[in-house]
Amino acid sequence: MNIEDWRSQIRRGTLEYCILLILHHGPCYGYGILQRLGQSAVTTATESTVYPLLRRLQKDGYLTASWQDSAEGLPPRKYYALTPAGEEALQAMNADWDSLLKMVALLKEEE
Amino acid sequence: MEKVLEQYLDTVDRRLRPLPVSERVDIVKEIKSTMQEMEAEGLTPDAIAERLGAPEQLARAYLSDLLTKPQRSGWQKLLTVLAFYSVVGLSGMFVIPILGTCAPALLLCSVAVPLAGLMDCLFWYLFGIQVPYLTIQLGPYTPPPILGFACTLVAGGLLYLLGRGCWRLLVRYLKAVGTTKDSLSV
Repeated sequence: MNIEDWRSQIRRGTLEYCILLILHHGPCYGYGILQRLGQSAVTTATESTVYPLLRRLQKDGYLTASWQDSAEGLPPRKYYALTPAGEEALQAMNADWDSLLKMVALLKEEE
Repeated sequence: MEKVLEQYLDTVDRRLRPLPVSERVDIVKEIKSTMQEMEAEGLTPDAIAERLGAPEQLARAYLSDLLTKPQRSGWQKLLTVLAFYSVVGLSGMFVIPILGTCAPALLLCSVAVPLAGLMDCLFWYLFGIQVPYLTIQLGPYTPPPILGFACTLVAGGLLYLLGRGCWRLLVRYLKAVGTTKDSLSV
């Protein structure tokens, strides 16, 4: 088993969840999401993964997007926000995540 | 915006051709916004381009993510696929063999012609012999060997450009067929 492969699988598997979590606290634009994800090595993602994913989530009805002008010297930004369907998906993911963590904790204790 | 980044956006835009125009515009606008965001942070244009990765790859990420879903009904899709393979099959029958033969042949000639000119020139001035079967003619006029050599150099350069053009055309044709096929997702 390759640890790097494992890491990239974790990253891929949790990316949507992390994005929904970020947006749960309020609308955010793509670059802001990338920066937030970049704060930990485990969640760091590239532009070519995050942007297409945001579009897909938008197409699937989990997110809405709107262009907004920014302050002087900054470009207009495309802000993404959770739709009710997105919130619902996030709740389901939260539940799954909690049971996953509980199970992992149990498995660790059994050692 | 710097030229490197403009070119980057152009490449992405071109690669996104299978998508509807409105979508392409929006994607490019979003990438541009990201670039400006990075610029405002003080990244150099080259650093930005490096961080975003190859434009082809970025475009492919969008295409593979957005085009995997079936957008057409079965019947329409079948017709599209039939049309695609008919056109590609027919055009490929001519385009691939013609360009595939011309490109290497022209490139070979682009080397052979100046070599022949050089040989003609050398033999004439060193040994005073006219190499048999080797004449350089510009219409009815036969130039002296040294001028002839210059002509073959020019001709070689032109043949090289032509050969390279054919080769690039062939590569582009094949790539275009590839991307279109991918976008059909069959």
